[in-house]
Amino acid sequence: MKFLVKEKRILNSKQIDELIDTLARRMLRKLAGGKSVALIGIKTRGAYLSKRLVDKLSKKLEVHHGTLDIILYRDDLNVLQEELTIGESDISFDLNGKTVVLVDDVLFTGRTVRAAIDQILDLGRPAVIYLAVLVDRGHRELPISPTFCGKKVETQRGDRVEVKLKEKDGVDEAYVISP
Amino acid sequence: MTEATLDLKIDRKRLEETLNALTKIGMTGKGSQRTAYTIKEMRAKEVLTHLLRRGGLEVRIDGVGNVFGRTRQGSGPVVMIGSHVDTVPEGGRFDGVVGVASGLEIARTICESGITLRHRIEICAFSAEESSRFGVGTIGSAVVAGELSAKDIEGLKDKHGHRLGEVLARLGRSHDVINSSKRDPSEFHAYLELHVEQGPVLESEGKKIGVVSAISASTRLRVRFLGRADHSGTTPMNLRKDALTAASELILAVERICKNEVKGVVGTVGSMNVSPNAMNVVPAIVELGIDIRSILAESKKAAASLVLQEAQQISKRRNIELEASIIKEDEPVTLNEEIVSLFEGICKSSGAPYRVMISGAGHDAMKMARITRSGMLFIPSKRGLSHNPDEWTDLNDVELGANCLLQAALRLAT
Repeated sequence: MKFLVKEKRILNSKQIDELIDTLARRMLRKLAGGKSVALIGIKTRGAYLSKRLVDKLSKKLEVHHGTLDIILYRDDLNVLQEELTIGESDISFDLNGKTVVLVDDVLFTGRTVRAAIDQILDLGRPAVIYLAVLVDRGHRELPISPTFCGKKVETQRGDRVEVKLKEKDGVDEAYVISP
Repeated sequence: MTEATLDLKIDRKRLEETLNALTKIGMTGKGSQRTAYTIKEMRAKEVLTHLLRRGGLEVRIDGVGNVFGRTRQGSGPVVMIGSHVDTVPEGGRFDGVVGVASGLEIARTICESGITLRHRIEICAFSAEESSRFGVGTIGSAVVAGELSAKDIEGLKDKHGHRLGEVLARLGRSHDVINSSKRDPSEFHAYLELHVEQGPVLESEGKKIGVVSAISASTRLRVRFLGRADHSGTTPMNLRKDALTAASELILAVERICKNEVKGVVGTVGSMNVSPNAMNVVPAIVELGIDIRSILAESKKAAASLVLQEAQQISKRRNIELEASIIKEDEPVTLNEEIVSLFEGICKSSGAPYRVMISGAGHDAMKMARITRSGMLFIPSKRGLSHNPDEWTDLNDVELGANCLLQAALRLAT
């Protein structure tokens, strides 16, 4: 028997550009006048996204940039089966007292964000942690909601949402893939 | 050395913050548990890479997960300041971490002072200094010193049967990557380490600094007496082959030999397995783990050989079979005399009460001493406690130790 995989494009390159612009505008509104702002992208695609946001924000706001590899903080980590990394997170500034915005491409169960928050709190004590995502696809398993959201997308629990970014995939696009 | 550099002091508050940031990971009430290559230990290294980057240092992780942070200024061979962040299970707050945190603080203090460095300063947290997981300690420093290769360590197993080779493979470390962690002696100008004493000598003498002149090494013996299991009620005393009474004789002999017969050694029977270990059975098999240490290779050898002779005599006298072997024999290490004198001079001029002493425990400095001139400072451990959650060292002593090491690093690196 053959299964049909349905693939639906939800964002094209132009739309992704516009969403990043919108996110940057909203962030500026909330963060303007604030000191010590830091955008921290969750690897892999959140890191690229956060870089693009930093490029836009830094024209109007002093903003630090860092990236986070959350592997050691995952709640389902099996040390003996997974590929692990040390030192792949790159935050070279003091997090204490900062206004931190975590950035990721897709918000789903919220578990990745929980891991990122725990990791951040091991590294320092920011004044506040916000969350910015390009796509919120729902199905949260933890009480987490985005502060800045590009687009809300209705999905089934079993769907996959894939964001492709030029830096990694050569193209800016997003898909919902249904089994 | 100018007056300015002699007056240079580390930032106590920042050092305390670094210590807290590292010991927060794997905190167990009063103590710490960051066993080598477990999530907790890796998270502590992750925190360390952040702190090193924040301190303006260049970060690098090698094939066995050793974490390095280098100053950008300076060139040529490095002055390395190292120790470890892994702990024994239910370990203390200070063992290892004090040296790494102080190293980072020293590097930051020097970088901020604007002093010109001739040599780069490189901070290191070595992997698996404690032997508690894989049965072998100072793995990270031994690989850097070229004493252990990927082949030597891949088969090491923990108590769950997990091989170190597999653990490192999860970290993306292939044989080639592990072996490339070996560094050439020409890359080093000197190695320095600050560590808690883990013994009672400094406190009992009212000293604040121990200048380590040598690090003792251990010879480890495994001795098995193979007697016979018999009914404890029906077997007359003269017809028994009691492995435990034989072992008891040897335990006392180890004490006698190391106390009275050979000078400059300490000996411990630290483990014993009795089989079948039942109250109504004459013990059939007893296995002893014996640890003999000294800074004198000859004395250690002499003591080990007397212990083995004694075991043979007991076995013959009691007509009980014996299996005895040396499972590990390390060479003691003498630390660099010039650095010892340098440390002494610094203690004298700063008025820090100190003594020159030997280290009874193994340290990363022991491995680094094989490839570069190395020096080590101890600071007091309250009641001599270590490998224990109650391990304690006063922050004033950590600060004093770090300032003495700072002066040594300045003299070596500028």
